[in-house]
Parts: sequence; C-alpha cells; structure tokens
Amino acid sequence: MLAIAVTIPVVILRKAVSTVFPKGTARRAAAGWMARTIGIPMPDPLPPGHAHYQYWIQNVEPYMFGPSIAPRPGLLDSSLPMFSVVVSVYDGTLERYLFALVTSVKNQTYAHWELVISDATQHPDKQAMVARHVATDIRIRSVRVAKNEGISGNTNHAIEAAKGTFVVFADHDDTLSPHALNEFALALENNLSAVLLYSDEDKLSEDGDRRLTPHFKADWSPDLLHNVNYITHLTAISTDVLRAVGPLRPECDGAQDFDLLLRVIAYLDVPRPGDPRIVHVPKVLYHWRLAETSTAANFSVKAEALDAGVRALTDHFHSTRREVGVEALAGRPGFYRVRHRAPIADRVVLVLLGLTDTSSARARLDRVLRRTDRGRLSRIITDVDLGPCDIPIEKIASVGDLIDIVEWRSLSDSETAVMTLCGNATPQSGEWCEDLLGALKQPHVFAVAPRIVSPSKQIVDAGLVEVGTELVPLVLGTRSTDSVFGSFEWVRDVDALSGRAMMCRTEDWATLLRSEKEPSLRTPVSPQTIRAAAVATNRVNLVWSHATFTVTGSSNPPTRFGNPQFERIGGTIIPTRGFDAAFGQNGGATW
Amino acid sequence: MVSVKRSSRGSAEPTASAGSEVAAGSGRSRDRSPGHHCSRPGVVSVVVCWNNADLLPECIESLKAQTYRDHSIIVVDNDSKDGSRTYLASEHPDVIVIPLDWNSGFAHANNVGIRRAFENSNVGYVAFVNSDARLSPNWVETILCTASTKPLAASFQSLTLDYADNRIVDSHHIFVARTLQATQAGNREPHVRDCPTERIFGVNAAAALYTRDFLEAQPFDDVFDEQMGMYLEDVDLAARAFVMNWESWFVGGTYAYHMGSASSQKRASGFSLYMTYRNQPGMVIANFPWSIVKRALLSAIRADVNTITHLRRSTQTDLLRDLLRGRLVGLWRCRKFMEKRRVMDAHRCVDPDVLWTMMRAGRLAD
Repeated sequence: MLAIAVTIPVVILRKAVSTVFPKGTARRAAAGWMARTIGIPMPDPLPPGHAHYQYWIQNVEPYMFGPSIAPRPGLLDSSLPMFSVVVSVYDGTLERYLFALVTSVKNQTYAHWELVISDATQHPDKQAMVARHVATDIRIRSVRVAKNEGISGNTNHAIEAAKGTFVVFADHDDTLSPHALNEFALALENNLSAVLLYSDEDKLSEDGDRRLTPHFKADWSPDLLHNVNYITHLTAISTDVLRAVGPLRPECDGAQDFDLLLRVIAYLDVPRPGDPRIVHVPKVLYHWRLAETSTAANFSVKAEALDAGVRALTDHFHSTRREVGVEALAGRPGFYRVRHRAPIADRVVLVLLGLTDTSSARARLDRVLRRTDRGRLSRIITDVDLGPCDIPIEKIASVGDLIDIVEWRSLSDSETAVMTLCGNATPQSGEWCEDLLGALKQPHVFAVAPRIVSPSKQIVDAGLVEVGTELVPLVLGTRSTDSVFGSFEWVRDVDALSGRAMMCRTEDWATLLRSEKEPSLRTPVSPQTIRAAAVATNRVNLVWSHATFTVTGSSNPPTRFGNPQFERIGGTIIPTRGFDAAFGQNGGATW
Repeated sequence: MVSVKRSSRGSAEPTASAGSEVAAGSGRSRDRSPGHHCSRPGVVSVVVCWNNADLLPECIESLKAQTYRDHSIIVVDNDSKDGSRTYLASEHPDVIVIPLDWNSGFAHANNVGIRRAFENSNVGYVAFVNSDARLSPNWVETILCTASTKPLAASFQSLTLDYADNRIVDSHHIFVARTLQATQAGNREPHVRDCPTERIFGVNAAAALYTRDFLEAQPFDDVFDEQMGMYLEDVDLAARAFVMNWESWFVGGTYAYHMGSASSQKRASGFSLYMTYRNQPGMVIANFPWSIVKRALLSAIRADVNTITHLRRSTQTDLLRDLLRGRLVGLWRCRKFMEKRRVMDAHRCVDPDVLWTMMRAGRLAD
C-alpha cells in the first residue's frame, strides 16, 4: 500500500511534466534552464547529436575493433609490446573513480600490460584504497611517493618504475576502452618505427553512466598541435624515447602532457604529417570523465594550464631553433596562437582576380589594402584597370600573361610568395599577410589559406577534404565552432584548398599554373590541381584559421556536416553524413 | 538460523592491510605471488542431481572431457529415484557420488559438495555445474588461465549459451540492478560476437567456478544460504562477494550451454516468481549497505508497481498472486536476515559509490 501511495503521485507528476513540457522541445529546454537558475537540481541537458552518438556506440563502434592478439596472460608472447599504464593518485581521488580506471585497465582485451600507480596519498584510508586495488591483479604495482609533488612529480615516479616498451598515460578519474591496448598493439604490429600513438576520445558523464561528445581527431599535424593539444588522451610513448627526452616538468603542471608531447616531437626532429613514427588510431579508446576538478568539465579550474601551455610551446620552438611568437587565445582556454616569422626581406605578390568592372574593383582593392600590411606587398597583378596606387600594379589580359610574369622571372628574388584572391573575400585584420607568409615558410607547407566566413560568422570556406573520390568542403555553413572533429577555429591540414584565397610559394605557383588543365582568369587553379601538386611534393595544405576573411553580400550557405547521421545500407550500418567527412590523407578518421 | 563461522580465518577478507610501504602486488597478508595458485591447482566440479538421469550423461561427459588435467567430479545426489545413482556407479566409477537421503534443496546439496571437495587440500577451485548444463572442453583451462593473475577473484563464469539454440545467450552475468532486482544480463539476447573478459558484479551458478580462497573466507558456515532454498542464492553469494570486495569475472573465449531457462514458460512460472520475490528482500537486507537501499528504494518500488501493472493488464492473475504472496512472505522473512546482516556488517567493506556504479549494468559501463 505504501508503495502505491508513494509511486502514484510521482507517476502523475512525471506525466504532467512530460505533457506540459514535451521532451526535446524548446519549451522543455527553457523550463530546465529556469529550474536550474532558481536552484532546482535538474539533470544536465544532453549535448546536441547525443542520440546519434549513442546509436554509433551501439551499432558502429563494436565492429571497428580488431581481434584480440593476446587475450590471456597465460599465453603471452614476449615479442608482443608491453604497455605500462601510469597513473597518479592523490588524496583527492575518489574511490569510484579509481575503481573505474583500474577495472577498465583490468578489462583490457590485451593481456600484456602493467599498471603502475604512483601513490601520493597521505590519508590512511586512501592508502588502503590504493593497496586494495593493487592487490586485485598481479600486474598492478604501486610506487609510494612520500610527499605529494603534483601531477608531474608524482607521475614521474611511475614512469621511472615502468618496465613496458610503451608508457600509456591515464588520469585517475578517466577510463580506457577495453580495446585500447589491443588496438595500440595492432597498430604497432604493422609499424615497427612507431614512437607515439594516440587515439580518439570522448567524454564520460560524472557518474560514469553515459558517454558524450566524441572527438574524432585529425591525423598527425604539427600545425594543429601548435594551436591546441588535440592529442591529449589516450597517448602511448615509447619508453626509450621517454627516457631520452626526460621526465615531465613540474613547472609545466596543468599542461605537462602538452609539454611532454612537444618535447617528444622536438626529439623526433618535428616529423612531417604522414610520418610513420606518429600513429593515430582512429578509434575512441579513452573516456574523459567530466569531473568537477578535471580539465574536461571546466578549464578555468586549471587556470595555470594556460601559462604552462604558452611556456611549453615557447620552449618547444626555442629547442627546435625557430623564431615563433606564442600567445594564449583570449576567451578560448587551451587554444594558442603561434606567429611564424618570415624573413624581413620577403615580399608577397597579390593576384587580385575575378573583378568585373573598374569602379567596384577599385573599391574592393581599397577595402583589401585597408586591412593589409602594405610593406609586405611588392606588386599587385590584376585583370582590370584599377587606377593609380602606391604599390605597382600590373594589368594582365589572359592567363598566358600570368604565366609569362612567372616564367620570365619578371619577379624579383625577394618576391617569394603569391597570394591569390578571387571573388569578394576581404581580410578582417591587417595581420593576415604576416600570418600566412610565416606559416607558408615552414618546409612542409605547400599552400596556406585563410578561413572564410560570412558576415553572420557562418563558415563559407575552410578547405576541402577527400570523401570517396570527391573533394568536398570540410565544413560549410555551420555556425557552431565545435564538432565531433574538433573546433573549426583550429588550424587544419586539409586535402585541398578551394583556391579562392590562397598563398603559395612563387615557384609552386608557376607549377600550378602550368599543370592546370583549363586555366581561366576567374579561377586560375582548381582544387584538384592544388591537391595533386601538394601530394607530388609531399607537402600539406593548411587552413590557417588565425587569419579570417569575410565575404560580403552573399547569403548564408546551406549547412553541411552538421549532426552526424547513420544509415543502414545492405544490412550493415555505416556512418554517413557527418562522420564520413574524413580529414583525408592528412587528417584522420578513414573508416 | 544463521550459523556464524568462528574460525581463525578472520583475516581472509580482502580489506586492505598494507602499510605505507606498499609492495607490488601484495595487498594482503597471505602469499600473493604470481604462482600462488599453483600451490592448489586442483579443480573439483560439483554437480547437484535430482532425478536428472536423462540430462546427467551429457553433463558428466562434458566434465570428463575437460582438457585441464587436475580435475575431478563430485555429484551430490538429492535422493534421485530414477536410476541416476546406478548410472553413475556403472558408467563413471571415478565420479565421487554423495548420496543424500532426502531432497535437501540446491543450496544445501552444493554446500555438502563444497565440504567434500575441501577435504582434498590440493583443491583450489570449485566449479558448480547444473545437471542441465554442459561445458566446452577448454572451459576450466581457459578460466584458470585468466584466474592466474587475479588473487582476489571469487568467481568466474563464461558466456552461457542456450542449450537448444547456441545463437541465443542464456547468461553473461548476474547483478543486482538499481531497482534492487536480481537481473540476468544477456538473457535471451542474440549471440553475435565474442565477449571480452571483464569484471562483473556476479556469476550465474548454473556454470561457474569459485575460488577456494573466497569460499573459505565466508563469514557463515554455509556458502549458499539454505534459508533461500533455490532462486537468488547465487545472487546472494554474488552480492556478498561484491560487498566484501571480492571480484567476479566474466571470461571470454569459452562457453557453457545451459538448458534451464531454455523454455521461457518455465522462467515465468508461478513458483520461480514466488521464490524470487520471496528471497529478494532477504538478499538485499543481508548484504547491501543502507545508503544503497535508500538510494534505490524509490526505483525499486516503481519497478514493483510496473511489474504488477503489467501482470494486471495482461490478466495473468495467478502470477500476480504468486508475486504478491512472495513479496509479503519475503518482507515478513526480513527479520530472519537481519541476523545475517549483523554478521555482514563486520565484513562489508565496499565503497557504496562503487557498488552503485556496478549496479547500473553489472559491469563497467562502456
């Protein structure tokens, strides 16, 4: 009777709420927001695309994992790699967090691992907790740290004790996918030179019940790593290399993993994109808990992480002998802006095409020049009469003229780069020239483009990626900055550039013009040509998002690659629309 | 009446006793070196038989076909009248038969089997196999291979498939859900891919292997609670193991085949419903910390109401009667289990949040 008396009102109340505020409606969201504002505890709203991700977890992900190559510890083969998972535990570690982590390691389908817990706990209860977990598996060890030395100091003790061929970094409140180490081992099977492995990741709700907001990462890209530590978890680093680059630096606490990654990269002599020593395993192998003290939930908790990140980047560029300015992006914690410096003498040729009549063309030139560092421009090449200007202007009538200028070296030696600007995109600030030129001067870069947005900040052009055999926009029309592929404010390696705003070296510009099949003044080079030329010279195309151009007067483009969707085709479920926007050769998830 | 064990094995429960210098892999005072299981490599399978002469041959033969060498079989016969004993005596003279002269119930028969198995000091593991189950030949071997790294494991089970249709799963693991209801995970689901080895809440005793360390660490003389008779006695044992911080493991790569729940009709029979609802409150009272009971009470009531509503709507009034009768008897019997609870209070050492985490799905949510 009591049961019924308690339950009936609850059921009626729930019915009433779901009738007045149906699920998934704006009214429901508003009511939830108001309830939270006045202090009624409500479950957090689920992020957009959550249902799609749950579907993916159930129907796509299980079929992505490879067979277990060492399922049982009794059947170990010493030729297989051994992973040392290191984790640092201190008094703030909750028992259920540690339980989830340790259990997720013990659940690994790959048996050749050890878990080294750096035990910096002071409280006897917490020490007992660590001891209890250590006792549950003979592959778990703990290293006693007498005094809590912070995340770096503590973890270093565990790294010292690691006996495996690879050290895998885990946080005390996160969990690993049961397939994580097996997938790493599979990736190592075909790749003897691998030094650094990293996987995709997602978030875990605080109670551990739900997986949220995946991040399908890009393949190895030094430029993206300078922009943001997109690698974070799950990372495995060869123990030998780790010993060579030295331990984590306590002065970089908060961004100590970023610092370590950068030092490994520097040790490897800054590998180019596509280098086999850095392996991206495009599977979600790490679940980052949205714990209140964790960076995953709230970056401001770790305010020191910002300075530490700038410091790590500065030291990195110093050690690789590059003159690069580093600053933290205001309002975007964890994002950094690097300014590569181009030689002072270098000049840029501005090729302004696609202009129709003289009057609007002149206005457009003025608009561009107003937001340009004129000192960098040596001359302007254009196809209409623009009138007098303090920068020399050359008028051309055909593509042939353009090729002539390049071929017959009427350009001086200092004119090392060509900026093509077609259509009506105009820069937002005068720094673009310096930014793009500096980025272009890196040896692994073929061409670099700014990000183009509409007046309402929707993305119009952020590079093209190869999907199947087609080059499609990486993202079009979306206003949200975050996606399953990371933020659109990041610097990106892309397969091709649209060519409407692009800077490349003068000699490459000549190659591009010569190899273009149907050149026209409207679009002098096509994306296909840019892609082919970049691949031929083993270099990459970059979308340098720190430089933003705005198009004027155009309506907003249709949205593409919004929420990921899945379709059942011929009995198998495959991800379509959204997840299939692989980042192509240099960028990622190819499945 | 609960008979509390008063033995010198009080130190055997896995409470952490390590000091500040934590040595690798030794959280407990007993020897936990990697090879410690080799000191007691013997495995005994205990089969309880009650008029199962038709099923017994296949079960016993699958046990005798185990690739693991140090393996022997004990059959506890609950006064069968159908010639089971003569079959065993004539066909399998090497099988130890313990004849009981009355049908003592599943729990008691298993306890008798355990005691007999422990007479041999070489025995380190006891497997409980229902007479309507059979095992893959590598079952014991595969599980022992996994067990060798897990000093604090209480029990293991493999994927148990439906005997009649191997494409259907009978049991992956058992757990007590956040509605406080005992749940059979994986039951009736299609068997589409291999399941990896993982930590689970508890094992289904239809085909499960228990470690001697755990069975000897019981605070009671009886391993399986004889007050329960049948149904939920394995959940009770699983919950007891979990709250005492012993681990249960699902082991992949090998299979058991179980007939019992093959017919869903039998599963929903009035008797099983009555026994399940009768034993459930006792199981909860005996093992679970109050904080968990409080946290789960509302959803437990809601789950009950949902079941009752469902049975009423589908006009299964006899089942409904059995359920309500079981529930009332169960609540009445709670006082019996309070005594057990007081003993468990001294042995319960699990973190309630950890327990709650595992009560979501009986495994780490992924």
